[in-house]
Order: sequence, then C-alpha cells, then structure tokens
Amino acid sequence: MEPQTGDNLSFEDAALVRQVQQGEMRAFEQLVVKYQGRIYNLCLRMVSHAESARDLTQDTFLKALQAIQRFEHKSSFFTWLFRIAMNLSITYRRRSKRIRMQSLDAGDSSAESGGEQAGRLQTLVAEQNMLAPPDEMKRAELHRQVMAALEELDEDYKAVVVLRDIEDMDYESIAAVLEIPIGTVRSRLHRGRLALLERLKPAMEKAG
Amino acid sequence: MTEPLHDPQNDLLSAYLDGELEESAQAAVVVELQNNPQARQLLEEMRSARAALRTLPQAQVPGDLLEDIMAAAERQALLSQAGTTSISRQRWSGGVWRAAAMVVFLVGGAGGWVYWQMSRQTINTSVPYTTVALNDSTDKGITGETGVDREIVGGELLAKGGPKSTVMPEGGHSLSKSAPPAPTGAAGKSALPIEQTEKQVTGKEATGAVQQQVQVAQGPEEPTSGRRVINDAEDQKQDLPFSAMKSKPVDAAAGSGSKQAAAVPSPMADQLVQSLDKDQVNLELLSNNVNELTLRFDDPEQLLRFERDSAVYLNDRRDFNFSIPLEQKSETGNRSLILRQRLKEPAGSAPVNTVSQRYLVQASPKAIEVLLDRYDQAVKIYRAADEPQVELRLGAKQVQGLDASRTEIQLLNDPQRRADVLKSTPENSLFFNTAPNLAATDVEQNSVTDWEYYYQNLVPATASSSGPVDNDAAAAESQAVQDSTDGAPKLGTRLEKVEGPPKLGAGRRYRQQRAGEPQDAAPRVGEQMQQQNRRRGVTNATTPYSNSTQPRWGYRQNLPEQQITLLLELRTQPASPTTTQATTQPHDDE
Repeated sequence: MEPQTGDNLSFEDAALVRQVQQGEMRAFEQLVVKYQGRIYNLCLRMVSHAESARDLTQDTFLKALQAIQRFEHKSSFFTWLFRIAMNLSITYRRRSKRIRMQSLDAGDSSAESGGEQAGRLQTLVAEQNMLAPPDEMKRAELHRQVMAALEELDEDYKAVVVLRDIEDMDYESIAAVLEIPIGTVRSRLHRGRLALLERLKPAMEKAG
Repeated sequence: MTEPLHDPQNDLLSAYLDGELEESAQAAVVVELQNNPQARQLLEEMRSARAALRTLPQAQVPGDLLEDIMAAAERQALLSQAGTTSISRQRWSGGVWRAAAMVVFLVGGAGGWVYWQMSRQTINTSVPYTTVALNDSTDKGITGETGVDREIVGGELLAKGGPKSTVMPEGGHSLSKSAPPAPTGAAGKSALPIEQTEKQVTGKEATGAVQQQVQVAQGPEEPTSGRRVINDAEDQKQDLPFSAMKSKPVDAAAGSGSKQAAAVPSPMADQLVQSLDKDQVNLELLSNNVNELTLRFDDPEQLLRFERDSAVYLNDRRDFNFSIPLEQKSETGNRSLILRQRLKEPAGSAPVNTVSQRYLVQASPKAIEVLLDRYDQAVKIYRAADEPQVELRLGAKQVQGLDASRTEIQLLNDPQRRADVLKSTPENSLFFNTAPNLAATDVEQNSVTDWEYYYQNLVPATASSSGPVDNDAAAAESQAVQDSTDGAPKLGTRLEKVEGPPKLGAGRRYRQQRAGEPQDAAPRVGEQMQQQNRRRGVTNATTPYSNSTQPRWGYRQNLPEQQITLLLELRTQPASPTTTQATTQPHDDE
C-alpha cells in the first residue's frame, strides 16, 4: 500500500482540506470516510484494543478538525493525520503502561499487558475452536503471537514497525509521521524487527 | 561496513529488505549476503516476520464510527463557536461585573460617607420631638474658634473638627447663656441639669467652665413635624453666647409612650436605660446616636429623676451627650422639656476653662412646673406667665462683632458697649450675660472655672424688681443691673437665697426619699459653692466672683412681664497650683 504516493490522491486530499477549512463539514466527512479504516487499524495495532482504537480514531479526526485551520499543506494530509493518530496512540500506550506499572507495583498479580490479554484471549478462542481447519488454526496462532510480540515492542520500535511492515510506508513517510530522521527510522526499524523476531521465532518455527 | 550484516548494530539488512538502500550499498549487501549465511538467515527471518505482520487482518471499522466522529465533530464545532461567544461574553461580563463592582463600591462608599455625614449632622429624624443637640460650639461662640464636636465610638470620645448639625424645631425659643472664654479644648467635667449642676459645680468640679442654656418654649396646639437641620457651623454662630436657639415641640400624642427601646442601640444608651429601668422610669428611647440620646418621659417626675440620675450616670462616663424631650399635654398647649447635656472630656485631657457644656430645657408647662418646683422662684414666675409666646432669641446679631467671649465680656462690661448691644437687640429678644465684673486679667489667666446657674424671674423693664429677692445683696445686684442696663430687667435673685425642694444635685437623696428613707437637707446653691470652694482651698479673695454679690446683668426687651430666665453666675479661680490640683480632685459633694 502506498497511501499517499499518487499526486491525484494528495491533490484530492488538499481540496477536501481546503473545503473543511472553509467550513464544509461534508468535506470533512469525506476525509473521515476515506481514512477512518486506516486510522482505526493503525490505532488498533498500536494499542491492541478495539475500543481504545475506536476512541483514538475519533480523537484523531476531532483533533484534525480542530487544528485543520492551521494545516498549511506542507505535508500530505494523510501524513499529518497519521502523525496525529500515532502521537495519540503513543501517548495512550505510555499512559497505559504507567498505569499497568503502578498496578504491578501495587501488587496486582492479575495485571497483564493488553497484548498478553489479547494473546490469551486468542489462545482461548483457538483452543475452543477445535473444529477449525488446521491452517486457519495455525494462522490464528500466528496472528496471536504476532500481536503479542508486537504488543511487547517498545513504542518507538512498534510505531516504526507498524508504519513500515503493516502500513507499508516508506522511510521518508515514517520519518515525516514520527518527525524523526530517516536514519533513526532505519535503525529503529531494524532493532524493532530483531526484537520482534526474538519473540516470534518459536511461533514461526512451529508454524513451519 | 565494520559490523557483519547479522550484527544487531548493522541496520543495512533491514534497509536492504525494505529497498531503502542506495544502489552501491545494496550491491555491497548482496555481496556479503552471498558470503554470510547468518546474514542470509537473518534476512529470511526478517522477511518472514514482515510477512507475518502483513498477514494480520485488517480490522473492520465499527459501523457507527463515522456517525460518532461526525456527531462529535459537529458538537465540537458548535462548542467552538459557543466557546468563542462564551469567552467573549465572559470577558464582557467580567468587565461589566468589575465595573459594576466598582460602581457599587463607589456608590456604597459615597453612600456610607453621606450617611456618616448625615448621621453627624442630624439627629434621628424619626423622633417626633425636636432635640437640639448641644455641641461645643460654645468654644467658638466665645472664642471665635471652631468648636470641637465629639463622637463616642466604642465608648471613647473622639474629637472631630467638623461642624455638627442638629435637628432643630422650627418653633420655640431659647434662652442661652454662654460661658466665658475658652481657649481650647474642654475641661469642664459636668454641666448638670438644674440642681445637679449646682451639685457638680459646687462640689465636684473646680475646673472648666460650664455653659448652660435653658430653653423655654411653647409649642403649637397642633403637633407639627416640621424640622430643620441646623448645621453647627451656622449653629455655632447662632450659638454664640447670645445666639438664638429655636425649638418647637411636636406631636404631643406621640409623646405619650411607654418605655420602648429605640432601634438604634448603643451600649451606653442601653446601660442608661437599664439603669433607669431599675428605678422603674417609664420612658421611651426615641433616638440615640453616638452623641445624643433622646428619651421621652411620661412623668415629669421621672424626668427629674432621669435628669438627676443620668447626670450622675453620665458624669461617671463622661463625654456623653443626651437629650430628654418631655412632652405633656397641658391646658395651654404642649410643651416639651428637653434637657441636653454634653459632658466633656476628663479634666486632665483638656485645658482648663474651656467652655464645654450647654444646657437646654424645653419643657411643657407641667414639666417645667414640676421641674421648676425645685426652684420655686422660677416656677412661680412661670406659673404667673400667661402662656407667653416666649421669644428668647439670643440673636447672633448682638454678638456678631464679638469674636470671643472674653472680648464680649469686656465689651459688655463697658456700659456703652452694653447699651449698643441692647440697642441692636431685636425686639422680643433676651440675652443674658454675667460676670460684669470679670476682669480681663482673669480671663487672660484662664482662671474662669465654673458657671453656676439658677432661674430667675424677669420683670418688665418698667416694673420694679418683683422677684423674690431673698437678700439685700441680690436686690442690690438686681438694682445694679437694672440701673446699668438702662431699663433692662432686674436679674439676680439667687437661688441660694431660696428655700425650696431638694436640688437636682441631690439625686441620691431623691432615691433615698423614694425608698422611704429620710431626706438629707440639701445645701443651697451658694452653700454648695462655698463648700466647694472651701474644699478647693479657694477663698473669696481669690475667687472674687464665687460669692460675688456683684450684679449680673441681663436685658429683656419687649418681653412678657414674667418669664423664666436663667442666670448664670460666673465663678473664677486663679490659675494656681491649688487650682490645678483642684481640677483633678474627685467629686465628693455628697
């Protein structure tokens, strides 16, 4: 996927943005329709929680609408929108991690990361779905492990990995979204992949 | 490239995987991959991991997400607009509130100031009677200096420089007597009503002069609520020793009242009322401010008691001004008795010889009868009066040219000057002066200490002395006055020559009498004065006027044949160490 490579796409987004800046809510609605899926999945990959992803998606568009008068078209609207979503997601994850750490410090033995919870849930579903085809079961297991491994990544690594390997964004776009140098994107991506491999090796070997 | 491709620190492999390397770097990586199986394995693992990530299914967007986003967006837009308006409104309203608060503050402050000023200038206008506030304008009246008003705040007297206004009735008349010059301040301890004054003057105070004023007025048959406010600045001019003091009794019906506390409480007033309540005095507290207490009595006897007791009471506290209106229906009309007294600062806090007090009496016939029954000479005169329309205007005209009482006295001691004054005296006017023999040196030495007063009859200019002169000296005085004033009425029947009921100063004896105890013999005025002088160590030689039989002089012009009048006797005391000590002596006349 190359969400913003086409000049027509950028031109179309720019036109909609200008309409929104002039108060056209229908233009804003078109932008929401156009990018809500990608923003939602981005947030879901980042936070591994559907409801939180939904809220983050809504907040992303609302923030965009709130700040759209300051949008100067120096970057693509998509990049700008992804930046908002990623920042919200990272902030959310860090806040959630602090809460979890505080819970752990408080001796909450039931505290688990969202990824672990998601992984256990997927495991439970997989175990209960004994009648599912073997390939789907393997795929589901792989997805669970990938999600669990991804959840364990540091936010900085995770953001780069998600944007590159899931959203298929080039380094330059990732650098623009995260507002970091391309070299940093490359190094973070490499380290993120190595960390992800570390966690996925057993599942990958098992999946064969 | 220092590290091998499989080294974790070497990120070329990821960049190679993503096609983010330049051609040269990519070619170098391809060469190493061919020679490094670990790098090739790692590359495959990374590719597999990326593939796994890319196999993650895309989550379906919740169906209502768009609606929620748009609803939230519209709500946000509305809130944004409202927020702008709200902010503007808040800013506007904040400014308005601040402005309003400022206005309220200013108005409140102005109102408070006005109220304060009015409270200083007026006596409670709700009082059906007119109460004439006494002030220290006698200082100015005599010396030409601005009088000092005082205000009791928290029981303390505060001196104020501003003039004081008082509510004066439109009718009625007064006869005022003024004290000798008063350089500054106030030292006289007490100016007590009638006999009480005698008591105080003769037995208690050797310091300070007392200016007292007796006002006899007849009110109209129909009550009137008319009042006028007299500013003390003006009043001070009029209150010069011979200035007019007018009063008019009002609303007799309203005067009959039971004891009822006023709405303006005052600790001192409350104490006073409580004190009176112990004696079962039936009175009504009509007004009360920091300087004045107005009470109404049903019974003149109670007034007398109050006059006596309050004098004692207030003298204990000093610096308290009160007025007592008494109104009682009589066959001939309504009259009010108003007793006013302003007690001054303790002797030690003010210079000696400062005229500090005045005494007004506006009484109903009955009240005056009862009152003056204590002074049988006067009451006889009053009884003889055919409801005279007393015009006791002690016109300022007479003293306009006199900027100080000492000068006045000096001038009035001059027969020619007196004649000029008399010529300028309006008809139906009456003025008195005393101490004709007061030497200028005495005044300069500030030796004037006390005033003593008593009632005296006033006879027509053409009439012979018909007053109950009880001794030859008094007769000689009256004759001398008559002679010196060229037809002026004879004055000078001294009450000390008159045997009568207990003096007002015998307040304690009065209480004893009420309790059924035997009443002590009240010393007569002259006796008290002499006793006091003896206590002071003052002899007649040093106080030539204390027992002086020198004629006082007064003037009456076209007045009814008989009037109640007032005679003041000036007492002087040389400014000596003895005198100074005497000024601080406690009152011990009982």
